Amino acid sequence: MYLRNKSGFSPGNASRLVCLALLWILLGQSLNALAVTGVTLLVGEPSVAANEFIEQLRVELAQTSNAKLPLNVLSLDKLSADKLSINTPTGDDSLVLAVGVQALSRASQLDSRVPVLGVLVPRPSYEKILQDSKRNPRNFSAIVLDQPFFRQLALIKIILPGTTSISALLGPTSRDSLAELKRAANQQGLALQQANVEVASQLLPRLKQILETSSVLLAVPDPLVYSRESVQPILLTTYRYQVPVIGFSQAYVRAGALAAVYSTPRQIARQIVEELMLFDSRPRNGFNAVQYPKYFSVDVNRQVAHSLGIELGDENTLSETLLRMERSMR
Amino acid sequence: MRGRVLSACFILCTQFAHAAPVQPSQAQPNNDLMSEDIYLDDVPKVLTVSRLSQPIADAPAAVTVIDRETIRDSGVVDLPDIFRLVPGMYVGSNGGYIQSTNPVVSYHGMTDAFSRRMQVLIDGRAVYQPLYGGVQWSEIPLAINDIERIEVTRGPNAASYGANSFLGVINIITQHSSEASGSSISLTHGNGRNEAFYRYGGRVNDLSYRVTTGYREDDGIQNRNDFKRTRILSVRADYQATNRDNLEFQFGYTGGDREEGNVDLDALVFLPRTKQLYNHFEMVQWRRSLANEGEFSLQAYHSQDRSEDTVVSADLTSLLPFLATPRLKVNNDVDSERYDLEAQHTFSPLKSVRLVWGGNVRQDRTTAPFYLGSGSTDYFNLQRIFGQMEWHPLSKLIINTGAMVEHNDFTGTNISPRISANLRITPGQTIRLGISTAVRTPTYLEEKFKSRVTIATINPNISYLRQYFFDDGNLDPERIVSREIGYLGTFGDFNVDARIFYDTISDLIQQNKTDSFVTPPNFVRVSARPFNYYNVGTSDTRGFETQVQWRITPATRLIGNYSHVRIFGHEGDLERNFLQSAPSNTVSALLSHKFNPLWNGSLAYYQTSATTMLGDGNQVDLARHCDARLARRLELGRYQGEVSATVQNLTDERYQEFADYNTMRRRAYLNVRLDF
Repeated sequence: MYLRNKSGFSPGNASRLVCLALLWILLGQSLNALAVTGVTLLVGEPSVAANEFIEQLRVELAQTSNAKLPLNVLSLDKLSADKLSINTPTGDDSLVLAVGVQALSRASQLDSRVPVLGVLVPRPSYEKILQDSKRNPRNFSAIVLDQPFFRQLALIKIILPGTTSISALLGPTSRDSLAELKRAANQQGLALQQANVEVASQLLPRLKQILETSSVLLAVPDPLVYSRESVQPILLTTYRYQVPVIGFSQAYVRAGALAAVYSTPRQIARQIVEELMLFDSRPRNGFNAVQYPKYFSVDVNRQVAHSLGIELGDENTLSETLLRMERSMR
Repeated sequence: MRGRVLSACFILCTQFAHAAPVQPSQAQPNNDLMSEDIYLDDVPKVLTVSRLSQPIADAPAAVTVIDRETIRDSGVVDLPDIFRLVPGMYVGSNGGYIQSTNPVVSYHGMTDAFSRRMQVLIDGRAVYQPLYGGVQWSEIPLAINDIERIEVTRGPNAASYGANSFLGVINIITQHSSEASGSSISLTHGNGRNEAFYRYGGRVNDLSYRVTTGYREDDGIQNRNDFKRTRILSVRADYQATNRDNLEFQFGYTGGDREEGNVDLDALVFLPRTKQLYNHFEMVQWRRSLANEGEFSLQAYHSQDRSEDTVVSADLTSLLPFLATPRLKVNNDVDSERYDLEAQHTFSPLKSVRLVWGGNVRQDRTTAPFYLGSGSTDYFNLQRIFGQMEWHPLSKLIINTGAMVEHNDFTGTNISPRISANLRITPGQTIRLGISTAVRTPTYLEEKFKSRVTIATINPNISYLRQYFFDDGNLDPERIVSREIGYLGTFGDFNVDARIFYDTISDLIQQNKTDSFVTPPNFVRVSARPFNYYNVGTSDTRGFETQVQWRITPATRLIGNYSHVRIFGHEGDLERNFLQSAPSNTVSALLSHKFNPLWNGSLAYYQTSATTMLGDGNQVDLARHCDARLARRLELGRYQGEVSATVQNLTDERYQEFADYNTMRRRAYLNVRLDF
């Protein structure tokens, strides 16, 4: 559960975090196992998700061969732009982990030699930042929050075995992934029906139109289509048409989507540590291109499934089946 | 307002960009970046326990669900007509006598002008009237287009729906306000009926709302005095207070004119006239989602139905000598108010058990000088507690059990238990065995009517008296024990629901002339013996009914219903007509087809065998008619909508409904709806 409690997170907490990080640096002595000699964590507005990520990152790092890698946590809201450029390392032996869109956007303004890895960012935002900053993806990459389409479609095939077609409502942001979605659907033998939403007022009419002939709706993240405001009308309308929704977050499942495959900040932290190790093994080659989450969870809404007359297996079995399917596809 | 939704989205996706001061030197402002929040943040729970309907295969009773698609395809113009698509249900238009220029809706017979053996709820609010027990369908502040779905429980289910859920329950659920965005206009013109409705739906942050206003004029049945002019205002707002707290507000108003009185029924006193209506209700509900699929809700509402009706009789001098004035004036105003408070808690103490329990208090305040024989307000209090459990002891078996205990001012304390078992014999087939009980509290008509008119003579000490009703009261409630075996089958796109039932109703309340009425001193009675109501005996209702839904192709759907019902006298002195008050065979079917994305059409067929209606009704012969509808979708720039033509009684059969004086003819309607 990623409850974002902005009011509950005091600046005091943030500074405590920074102090902890400094303490970590002071204690850190041996810096030789990883080529990366230091990681600067750039964090935007404090959030439960970011905290979870940082916490887990520490835990995971502690289990690696280099348990004493210095971790410098910088909170954006504490720093001015100038200070940022002074305090962040520019050498080849350290990198910046930008947590969240805001942090990644700021990190894109750093010296272009500083390797930057974005986490907890949506793929469209990473790509936009990359494009605008004209940086090289070899040293400006990300592990995005989005799940690959094949994974989501595989989930649909597992929980709704008879499905032959899927529907998607795309907005100005998610429209760019249409070709990729089509390809993924094709590969799994699913027909794709899609409608575009240009302005918010088109949302419900287009949704109703597409639901007339849908058997399942795949929610593709887009701020115009899937916002906090639209979650209610979208889920109520799809439920009225008895069309299950495959969401993109655990919160969406709790709200009323049938199921979702998603990655927690903890799972992403685990993947990041592995990525850092890889970075070490190919110091001059840089990062892999943008990556999808490797570790994921599946969540289902049993009440909704029950009401729609859908029988579901338990979450663990579902994610294991999904993992097996993915392995066999490769 | 849509601008606001848009800007809300805009703010949402740009809040990060604004949170950090953006460097002026930066070439590209990053305010079009999607924030990670929509992946990581919590969102309000939408499909809460109370919003999700139980799958029909798990329900403790037979249920017919009428969704928006069916309502639209059926082409119904008047809401009660939709219930013709429920197996075993009778719907008849009626241009009747007093309080009965109103469609009759009944289930399994015992049909009189006032559907008093059925519960009708709209979003959990009981709309049956305390006076006659029925529902004044045209006086409900509800536009058909605002209905989300209708769940009709065929059979008693007091444990779930409360008092008077006797022969059946009609549960109307309106659309959530966030589903109505922007403006919608609907105009209908047709034989004897014109309607104009306007709806606006909007949103301010976490508050969504819709406002529907409408005007309807309805000539009613040919050659009957049953003209209706109705103004409707209906408002609903839903406020997402927190991610788990919802507040719902509703307000409705119906006002207008009703024509009443027909000389063939009464040529002396209740002559043709027009009465005025002022009905409104206010409702507030708080729902909180709890852990483990739980929910708590608290609901309060108030409703008031007021009608002003001043009756002026014919010149009575030729009939009665020595009159003070030739014409009699009767104050037939009625004012019914209802205050209701209900709390309900749903939770799962174990994974295989779901419990719902709650309580409800209600007060009805009725002022009806003519009917009650007094100008003072009568109070009727009701308290009830209810509990029910859904238990899955095995994956293929569901046990539903529950009970309601009710105490009210008329009949004291009564308990209505229920139990049923649903056994899934194959993944698509379920067999249901159930026993359900309910009680029906007498209405004011049955318990407390003292309706009379007094006619002054030239001697101030002597008046003529016409006593219509003189209820002794102290009636026992009617009790029903309903036993059924049901079958539900799903075979791909073909669904079938069938059941046989055996219902026993005891302490049946029937109308008869009373001998106990003693004419008070100083009065001269000028009428026959008045009516009274008695608990007369026991009857059995037995039969079979089935409903079929078949999506023949993705574009073609067929709904078919059949029911066979017989009523048998069991003991006591039942009215002979009572045994013929259920149509022995009822058939209805709806075939709808989408020709292409623009055009769709449907055909409906309805047939009811000869029946004898009770009360004001009488014998009507076999009735059958066919309705047709053709619609085309409109897409005119930012205007979307539909234009449709509906013809009811396509072949112009001149059949009767409810009584021999209601003759139905062919009618056609044209509707245009535009959303923008």
